[in-house]
Amino acid sequence: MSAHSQILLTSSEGTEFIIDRDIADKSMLLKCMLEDIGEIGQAVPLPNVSGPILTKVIEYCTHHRDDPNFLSANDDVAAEIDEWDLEYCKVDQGTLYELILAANYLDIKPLMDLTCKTVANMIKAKSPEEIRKTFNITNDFTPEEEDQVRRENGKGSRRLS
Amino acid sequence: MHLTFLKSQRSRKKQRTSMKLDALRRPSPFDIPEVLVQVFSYLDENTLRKSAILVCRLWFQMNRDRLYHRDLAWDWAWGSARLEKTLIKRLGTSRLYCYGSSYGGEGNAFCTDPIMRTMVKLQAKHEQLLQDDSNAISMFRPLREMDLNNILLPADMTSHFRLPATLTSLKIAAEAYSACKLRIDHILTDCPLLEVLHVSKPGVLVIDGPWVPANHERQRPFRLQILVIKNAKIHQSSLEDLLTLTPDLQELKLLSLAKRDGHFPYPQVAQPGDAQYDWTHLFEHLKSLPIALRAFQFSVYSQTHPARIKLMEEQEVRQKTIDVCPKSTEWSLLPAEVTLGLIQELVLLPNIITTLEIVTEGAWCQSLNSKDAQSSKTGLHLIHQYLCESPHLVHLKIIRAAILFEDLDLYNRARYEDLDLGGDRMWRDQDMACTLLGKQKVWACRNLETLQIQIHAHSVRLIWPVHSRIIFGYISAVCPNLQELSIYMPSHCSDNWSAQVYQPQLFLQLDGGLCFLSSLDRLRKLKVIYGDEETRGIGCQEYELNWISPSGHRTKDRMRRAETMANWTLQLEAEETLERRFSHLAKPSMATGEDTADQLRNLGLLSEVKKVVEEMDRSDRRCLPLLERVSFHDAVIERRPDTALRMMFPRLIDLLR
Repeated sequence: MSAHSQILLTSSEGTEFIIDRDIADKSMLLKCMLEDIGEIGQAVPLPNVSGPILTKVIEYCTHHRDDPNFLSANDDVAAEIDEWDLEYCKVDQGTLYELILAANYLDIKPLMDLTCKTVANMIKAKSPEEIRKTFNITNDFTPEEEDQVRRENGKGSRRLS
Repeated sequence: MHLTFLKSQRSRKKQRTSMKLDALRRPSPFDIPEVLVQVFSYLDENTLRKSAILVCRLWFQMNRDRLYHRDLAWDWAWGSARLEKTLIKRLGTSRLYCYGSSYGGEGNAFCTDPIMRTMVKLQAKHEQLLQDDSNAISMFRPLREMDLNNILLPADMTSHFRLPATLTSLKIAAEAYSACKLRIDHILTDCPLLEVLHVSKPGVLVIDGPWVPANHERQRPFRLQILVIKNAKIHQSSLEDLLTLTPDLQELKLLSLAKRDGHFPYPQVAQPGDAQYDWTHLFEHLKSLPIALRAFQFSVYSQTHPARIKLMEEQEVRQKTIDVCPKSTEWSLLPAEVTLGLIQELVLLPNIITTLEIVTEGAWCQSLNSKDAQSSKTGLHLIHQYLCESPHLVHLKIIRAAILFEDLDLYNRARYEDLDLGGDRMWRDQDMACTLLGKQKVWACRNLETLQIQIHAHSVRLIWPVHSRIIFGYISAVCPNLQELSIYMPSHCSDNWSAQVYQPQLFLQLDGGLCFLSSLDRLRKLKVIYGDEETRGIGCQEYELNWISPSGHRTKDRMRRAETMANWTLQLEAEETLERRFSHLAKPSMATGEDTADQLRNLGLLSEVKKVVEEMDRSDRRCLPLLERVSFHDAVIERRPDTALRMMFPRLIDLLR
């Protein structure tokens, strides 16, 4: 297997992307698939990923191409997101969602960590109502339940030793 | 009655409408539980508690275990009635840490009745609720773990020591005057789910009777995974019987077992009724069982042959241990076992040792007893040497065998004592040259996650802030991945040159350099214990310590820290003078990574404290983001950072309550 071989990918709309093998290997899904069946010279279909999102994913993998700590890059919960990654995640919410779904499907752990951290940052410092509005979540608590959860946590957290 | 539970009252119509809308919206990553779990893992507890769990039922349910797997620390002196009330208010607790008072007496005897009563009552409510509505949200948490520290066990264990059936972990450190005989069979009858069992006592804890309950069905195994018995007199046959029913056992530690009742030390002449331990039989028994041990340790207390097993050479014992437990990565030793031969053997062992523990023998006390002290003096350099040669160590628990301060003071800055007076009043150049020997080595264990150490010094008196700066600075630079850090200073020490007893100190003040620990981003638990109960004091202002919590970074706190540091001009000048004078002497070439060497170059300097505090207060970076529990001046109870700060620096409103 040549280190510089190329792989052909097809997005959900049928757009074709040619990428280097080492870029493809950043995705555990593609890596395992290519290791198992070998490079058959045909396009690998990715029906769950659209063209624009695949472009973004390839951009991420290309930027981190030579990163020796790629797999453990975002492991650290306390670590801050680096500047390029921060800029990369400045996308509309729909794109961010699709990036998460793509990272999950393609099994690219660092991208998954990064996008989930971005979502977590969007939750921080927001009230429950603001979170629901931001992420379009329906409040399925009854008023009594919500009040109860609120009361338990408000008091409990101060009281604990 | 404070106990309330929630019930769903949604109508079917509302549910149907909601389902239709769900079907129409775009796929969301929030539909994938793994994604949600990952997102929640990046949120701090406050955000989860105040915002996330109030968003919807799913978010509440996904975080319930994390939020309500809460622990409660309880000093038995606060009273059992209050404990009962607290448990009811909190709708149970998952972990309960009980601490006994320092002075024993029958009146303080520990009794599990209030805990049992309350937990059973809460459990019944919980079950009733779920029976009425299986979708109901219950806040009840069953008691899973119980740690009993320094508690006076009741003399009659059968009627006053019933335990909740939900327990999976039980750790009992009995108080020295507990006269009871512990019954393992009773514990296993009460707690069939038990996975972890630790029992110990200063002096000798007598474990009596059979270990397997009389009515136990022999074909039904126990769930025990970890069994640790320390300072106890046991019947080996009862232990061996139990081992036949513990197929999941991974860790078996029998440490400092005693041959007879009573306190150490006891007469050397054999007495009728002494326990007999036949280790060869135990080894063979263990090998015949389908148990895959991860850790196996044993030692017998013997006054004539400290911590050795008669008629068996040390090497032979180790070899047998490796035979029984070929995958062992943990070693627990008694202080007397720390010998050159052993350290060399540890380095040569085929398995990589990731956990090293040195446990107490005899009575627990803050300062080392004379025998331990002697043992530790011979072992001090050996342990340091081992740490310098063991990059794989992850957990180090050596409270009983002290670390020598001089080994940490790489640049001999211990002499920068009273910087107000120039700092070097008792040091000459030739002293410096002498003390430079043997300081080229730095601990190699960069991945250390647990560090529990006691610090001693032979040639200096640990009574100046510079000494604390060296200790905190060394640890933060050499062990950047720490999750649990406990630093103990004995209540009394004596140095080699004057042989006078003095009280060593750790400084929590700004110039003591505790702020060096702010770089430990993974730290979850921090204990800094020094002095004895009478003399131990906080000795610092709130703004000097509250940087450990997000609440301590207000403009007011930052300004006060800056003001304090502005008064250090004279000391900083004195330090600079000393640096110029001694720098040509203290240049150890350390075998360590470049980053660590850089961090250590300024070890112990006040100017470094100033730099760290200024950087900390300039940036918005959260210090110690994962810190959950701290204990500074209280040897036992660990509290949340905010609660600990509030206890140390009470507000007027707290005092009026």
